[in-house]
Amino acid sequence: MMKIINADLYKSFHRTYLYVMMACLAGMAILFNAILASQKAPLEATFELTVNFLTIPLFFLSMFADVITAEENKEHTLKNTVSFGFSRAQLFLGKSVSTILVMVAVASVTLFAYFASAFLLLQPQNNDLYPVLSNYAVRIGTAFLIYVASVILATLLAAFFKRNALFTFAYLGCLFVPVFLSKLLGLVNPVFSKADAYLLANQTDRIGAIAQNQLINSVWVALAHIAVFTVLGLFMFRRQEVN
Amino acid sequence: MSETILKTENLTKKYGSFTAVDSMSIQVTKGEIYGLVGKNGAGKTTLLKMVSGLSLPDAGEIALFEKNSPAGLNSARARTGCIIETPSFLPYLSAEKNLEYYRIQRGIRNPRCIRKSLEFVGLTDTGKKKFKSFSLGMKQRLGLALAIMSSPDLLILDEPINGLDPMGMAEFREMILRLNREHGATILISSHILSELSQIATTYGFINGGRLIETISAAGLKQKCKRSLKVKTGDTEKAVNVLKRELNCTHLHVSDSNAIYLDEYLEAPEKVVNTLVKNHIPVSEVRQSGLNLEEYFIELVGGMHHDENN
Repeated sequence: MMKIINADLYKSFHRTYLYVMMACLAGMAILFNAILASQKAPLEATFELTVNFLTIPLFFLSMFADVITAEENKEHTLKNTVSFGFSRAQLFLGKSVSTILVMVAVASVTLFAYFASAFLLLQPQNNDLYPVLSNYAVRIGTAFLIYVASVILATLLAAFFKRNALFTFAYLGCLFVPVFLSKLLGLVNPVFSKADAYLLANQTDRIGAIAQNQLINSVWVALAHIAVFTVLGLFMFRRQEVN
Repeated sequence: MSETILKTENLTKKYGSFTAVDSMSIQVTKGEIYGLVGKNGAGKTTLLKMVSGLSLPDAGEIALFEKNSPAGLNSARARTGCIIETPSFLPYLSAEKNLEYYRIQRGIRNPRCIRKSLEFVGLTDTGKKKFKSFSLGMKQRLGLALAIMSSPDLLILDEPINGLDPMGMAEFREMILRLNREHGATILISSHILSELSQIATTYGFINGGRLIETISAAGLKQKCKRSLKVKTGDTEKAVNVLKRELNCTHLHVSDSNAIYLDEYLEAPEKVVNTLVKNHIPVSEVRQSGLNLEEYFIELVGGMHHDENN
């Protein structure tokens, strides 16, 4: 499996697409802080605001699964891997881990640009930033687990749908249709609204709004989704014909 | 006894109600070039996909290098090289970078294998040209380069010469023969370009409707397809005696349908006819018989259709 991951990292870092994505995200982070600076906002404000935008990455996380798995499915190159004797389990797990690692690499560059620009452009209100930064780190860490679950879902779908549009549509559908349904059915019977607390896409909204000690629920939801998507992926890919 | 490289027993694959491969049992021994012959949709690709692990059989068993457990098969597949259907690579990478990707994935330590494979297939001058800009011939060559990169003991090639021009076909044929002779690779190859297959195969497996209908060695096929003069007369016994006595024919035999097959006088059938007529033996048919691979296959499959229709 390590060989699959190594090769995927080689492939991913040998294409412009990934660097353009990194540059765009880093640029957006810098721009965000520059706008705050122009409004004379304090350093603490950037951290308070960005925890409310943690749902946005869910929309483009499928791009990482596209680079690692969907594209190979579309170009029929998965057969070169399977015919050399890699099991489908190794392939699915390898692709999932590769996608997470590429996501971590892009996130690291984006976070570096974000923190560097924040500290360079914004002035802190208080001298002791530790409580703000630790609170921010816990919330970002929780969001990261949700992103990992989403990336595994995207990998699972990327292994099945050859057409990019269909794969992206299925990914967004799996994340957001349950949210819509729970809200809609909640109007009929409030019992359905209870599902809200356990839906993956809802967790990123909650992270910015709830107290730090309530984040554990989101962590469990993310971990449960990681387990379910992994088992489901392994099961569904087990007898999948590779073309 | 020759080492068995690949053995399938009653291998079956169904897609819904359609049986693509039906209880197929084949055996490929070390050093062979096993040619799978069949028309489109006969089940060749499905069989090769099951052997290479891309498709899982519904019934039956595959043994590769005498390993038949799922884990054993996967480890055995690392000793194979495949081109199944069209060669596929990452479109945005060059030939060298594509092979580097697979070298890392396959854990091949020596990076020189890339250069060696590209040299073998004559693809060293593509530089930074991306795979998406390659011609079909170049794609096929790169497919072969990947297949041989790990020095496989068994090459599985599915229609590797499809779409190549005559020059490309000849070069590809030479490469396959070199791999077999110089590198000792056993080759399982499917093609419906039978004229090409007939120049390399040492064993043939004829497939029709998902079933293996005949396995025959190249020598056996040559014997079966040998050209001869077929003569039908009103008195076979007398005709045989006359031909032996007056034309000194030694290489002849009589078939079950009382036709005489002569390996001589292929270029002078009039001498045979004149001799028989002079001896008052009525001649009802004289013609050259014998088949090439294509004719043999058509006759075999045509016969199957005839049997099925009846």
